[in-house]
Amino acid sequence: MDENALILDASRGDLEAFNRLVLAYQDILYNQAYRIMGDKDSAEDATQDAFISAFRHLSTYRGGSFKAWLLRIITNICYDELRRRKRRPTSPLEPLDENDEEVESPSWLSDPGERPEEATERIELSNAIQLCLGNLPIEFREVVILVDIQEMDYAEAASVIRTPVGTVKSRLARARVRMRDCLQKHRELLPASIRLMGESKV
Amino acid sequence: MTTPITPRDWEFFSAYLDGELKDKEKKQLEDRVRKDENLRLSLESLQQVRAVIRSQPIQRAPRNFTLTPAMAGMDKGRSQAAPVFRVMRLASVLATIFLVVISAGNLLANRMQPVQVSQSFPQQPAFGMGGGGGGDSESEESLSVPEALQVEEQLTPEVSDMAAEMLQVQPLPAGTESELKAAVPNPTPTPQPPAETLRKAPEAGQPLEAESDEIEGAQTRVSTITLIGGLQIILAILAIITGVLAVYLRQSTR
Repeated sequence: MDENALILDASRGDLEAFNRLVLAYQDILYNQAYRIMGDKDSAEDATQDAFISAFRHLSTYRGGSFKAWLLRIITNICYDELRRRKRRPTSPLEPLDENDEEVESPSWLSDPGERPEEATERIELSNAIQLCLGNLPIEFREVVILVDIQEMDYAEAASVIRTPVGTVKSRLARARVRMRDCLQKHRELLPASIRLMGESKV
Repeated sequence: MTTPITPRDWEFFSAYLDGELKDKEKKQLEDRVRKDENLRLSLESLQQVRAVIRSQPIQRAPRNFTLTPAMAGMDKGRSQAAPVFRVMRLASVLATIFLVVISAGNLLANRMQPVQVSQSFPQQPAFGMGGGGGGDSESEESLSVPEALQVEEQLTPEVSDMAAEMLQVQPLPAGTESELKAAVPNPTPTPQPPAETLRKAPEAGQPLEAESDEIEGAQTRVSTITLIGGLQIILAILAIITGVLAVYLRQSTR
């Protein structure tokens, strides 16, 4: 059955049809949530909430890219959660060192001694990217995730965040420059092939 | 030649890497990069960042996020139907109870009815004798028949039978007639006036009033019986409808 038929059935209350759409899009939505939120538990919660919200508000879907519609829902849910956390900050998850100071490096999440070297490198790079993504303002972060991780074109990304294509273009450029600066600060976390990134005058 | 990189240049680099520049803009940028080492390095650094981010594998969902009916809020209808179901069930039960009680009461009342009628029989001769106009048993019967017919018109067949039985005057025992004739000096048979006239006439006396009360009592009883019958029908319909609705709600919310 094609996507439009499933959406139509789901909008009439067919939960089974909607669950087929869930299976088709859950990786994309979870990935989006994970990149925005930065941790798996929050990403899971956001993904579940997004699908519940999508089912309940399916009548507001007015055609177009269903993927973009779902991504907009999950992005908004993640924003709301991040704003809530900002209003009510909680204890950081980072461990403390012997001086009772937070270990900011995300490398504590990995266990290099138990993994092959390549896997360790990949995990560290992933952690470094996630750290730098987390440091970006939300409006920059979402554009990087949509274009570089979800591999959307500018028009699709603009439809998700409901901004002009020109805004996507400028935000993405600024976000990439910030990502470059951030990754250069965490060179020790990067694989050798990436460490040699050019240092140009800005 | 090196030139400082402006935000506008970064935008062009970024769009160039994504293939979002027009052909003319793309050509101009390529010319500038070819001539400017700093521009070239900046473009390369941005290209690397983009490649690194894009190299990240898709994070697969750790579990399925399919929705259950409860998650989808489909239990809402069920919870909304629950109070209606309870009301329907209660209404059905109450209607049935009332129906049973009223039917049982009515049945008991009907069984007691012949006893009351037979108790009134000994008074019948006095009723006929004191009338002043009633000379023989025929005239006595003719007194009550119009009234009985009048009442009969308002009754259902089964109830009218019962009422007719109640209103019917027993024929006098053999020999009583001659005794009565002897007791009355001038048994001039007169045409029987209508019951209404008799009721109003002062000379009608006590026996006629008693007869009138008896008829009114019978009418009241008959109308009560009719009312009870109607109530039974209404209760039965109510019990059935609410019961069926309760069963339907029960089935649909499962």
